[in-house]
Amino acid sequence: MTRTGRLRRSISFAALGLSALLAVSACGSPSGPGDSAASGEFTYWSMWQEKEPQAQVIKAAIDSFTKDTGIKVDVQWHGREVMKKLTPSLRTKAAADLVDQSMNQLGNGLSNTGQSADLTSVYNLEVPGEGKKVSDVIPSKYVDYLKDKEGKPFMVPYEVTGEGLWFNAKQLPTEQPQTWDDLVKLLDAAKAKGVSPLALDADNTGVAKYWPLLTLIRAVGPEGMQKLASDRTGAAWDDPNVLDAVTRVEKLVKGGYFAPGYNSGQYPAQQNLWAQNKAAYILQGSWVTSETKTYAAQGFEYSSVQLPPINGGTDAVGVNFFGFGIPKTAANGEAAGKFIAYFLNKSRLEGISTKADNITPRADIPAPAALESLSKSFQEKAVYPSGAALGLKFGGWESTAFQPVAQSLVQGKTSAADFVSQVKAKSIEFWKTQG
Amino acid sequence: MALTLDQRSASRRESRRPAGPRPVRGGQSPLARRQRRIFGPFLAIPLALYLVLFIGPTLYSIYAAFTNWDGINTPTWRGTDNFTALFDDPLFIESFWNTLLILVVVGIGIFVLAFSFMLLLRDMKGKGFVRGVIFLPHIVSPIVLAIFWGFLLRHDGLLNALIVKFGGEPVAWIGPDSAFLMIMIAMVWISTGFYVAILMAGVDRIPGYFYEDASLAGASAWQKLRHITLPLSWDVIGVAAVLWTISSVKVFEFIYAFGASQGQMPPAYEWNAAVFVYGVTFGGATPQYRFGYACASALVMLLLVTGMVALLRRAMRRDAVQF
Repeated sequence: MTRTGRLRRSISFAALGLSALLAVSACGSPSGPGDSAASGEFTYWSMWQEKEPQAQVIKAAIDSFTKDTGIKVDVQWHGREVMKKLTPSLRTKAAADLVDQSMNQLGNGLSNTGQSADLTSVYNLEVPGEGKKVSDVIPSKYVDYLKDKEGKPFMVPYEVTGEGLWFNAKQLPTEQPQTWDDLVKLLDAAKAKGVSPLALDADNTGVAKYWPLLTLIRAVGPEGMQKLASDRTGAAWDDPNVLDAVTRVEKLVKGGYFAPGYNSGQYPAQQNLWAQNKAAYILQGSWVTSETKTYAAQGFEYSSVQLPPINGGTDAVGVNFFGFGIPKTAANGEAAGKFIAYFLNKSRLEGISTKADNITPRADIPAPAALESLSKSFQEKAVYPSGAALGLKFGGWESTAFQPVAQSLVQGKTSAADFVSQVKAKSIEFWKTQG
Repeated sequence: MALTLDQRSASRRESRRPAGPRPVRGGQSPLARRQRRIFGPFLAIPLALYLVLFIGPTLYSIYAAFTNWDGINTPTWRGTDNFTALFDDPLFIESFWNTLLILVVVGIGIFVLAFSFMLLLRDMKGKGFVRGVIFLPHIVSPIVLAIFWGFLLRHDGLLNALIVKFGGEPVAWIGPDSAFLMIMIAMVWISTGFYVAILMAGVDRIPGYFYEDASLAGASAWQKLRHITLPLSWDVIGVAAVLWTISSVKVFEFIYAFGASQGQMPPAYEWNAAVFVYGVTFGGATPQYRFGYACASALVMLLLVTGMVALLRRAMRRDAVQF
């Protein structure tokens, strides 16, 4: 064959390859959960490993869903890295029609990137066998925080978590401290008994920021916290209320309220120590109850209170969500939406409480005993998105300007005054570079 | 009529053909010709793979470094803003310095130790065994080593248990001031064996009679090192230094496994440049998807390594000694 012949042949091969590629990408034309083209199957990528209790509950629901509707579910148990694996396929044709993760993961991965389907249609679906809509069983005070900038929901939660000051109700009073002084009195009482008042795994960056962050929210409210985060001039940090709140944390650090070794250990050493009654309180997420279950001293009775409001600040409770999302480019979004509604039926969802030991968003499903105190405050108090939704709205600011200094404060390396001036300076610097 | 390329070269070959028996076409055996024909496709496959999987993404990362890109949607041009932002970002500055600390301080630690071992082991009986023991940490997964390191050094760890047993107070080995130092010590521990093996391979080539001759002339151990060992293994040392420069910037697993917990990023004081890239993209409980920014930081580090390697090669350039 001559060279020109070879060239012609290569060009035709390349053309063939290119057209095949275009054909493949054309398959990825977006269709959402509201589309009419119903299909008999969908793919679900899960944040759980197959052996985890949540996976067992969801798997049982999938089996009966297929039996009841004939819709097949291709389920893949990817674990916590699920969004990382899904991201590359989101733009053309999502590899999964249904995915689950936390509010922050779905918010940042699907909603903030414009890759989430509008789940309004799912909220309007009827929960099979109940005669109620999805929007009737998920409290609207939760859904308010699961919407994108245009007000379209991107997530349907099936598990609710939150932070609290946890303790053993067998040994300590269960009343909610009304003022910061009440709280300090409780801590002093523990100290007097020779027990370390507070456990803290300060190496865990997620946990280390709780004391400064939640205390600040107690003083300025979640909106005030968002204002602190987004203030380009840094002037919001000059509010004396801010320094006052941070000084309270500094006093705990300097006053030796944290258990020995909190500063040089490795998570979860301190929370295990706490579960052994060697420290009285721990400011942690509700998962601390299931994480410490096997280490807890005999008869340990989990209970929690919230940090008291500061200077007439808020007593609202921070709430975090785990739940389903549907990518905009999912081919079988409608079938996935049907499953979401199916799973929220009381008889199926209650497994999240009874088998997976977690709070569900439905008020008519009792929380597991260890989380009763927190579940009660979710229902009685106003709620705000966990951590004032900083991770979702100002993630770059939080990890750059706030988190390292907050960790340094609880580690006793930075004073309250330095904390305020440093975060202020870093905030100004951060927003200057964000253009 | 225009000739095709093939026809033209064929006619040239015809005109140059000398008299006598007809040679094999093109001066090659049929086997060689067939080999030549197959050379293209064989080269094309790895070249295509390399282009698609390595060169392409690298070029795209360089482009992405100048954009605002969330890893999903179309990047938007940002010019050099990512780079100015990087050098105003306290997290990047900290990561950058920590990377340099690993490169220089750990590098010096490794080479001082590796040279000492080399001198000790050269005449030692059972040096193969000792070499194996020093090499061992390099084979074990960094994740396992990080867990072991934590187990040893944390507040309720093995070392503090020993100290307490002998009546002492627990030491804050991995507190905010000392955690990165412990990471650096671990890096030395993990990597020394590898460089001992490389350097020993270079030193083992040096014939024994040089040393015998030097001993007869009354040379000290230092003089032997300076006048025999170093010059005759210089090229190996140079290669080892370049290898360390490149691999030190890529250290990731150990730091992540040592410092991260519960899906969160490690504390900022433990970050290096590789951890930074993960931290601003997929890492942590609230991933940030700042891919353009991450690419910019990776590009800065690539330029740094390229510069360092070039400098190192220049500084280490010597005429090869033949022996």
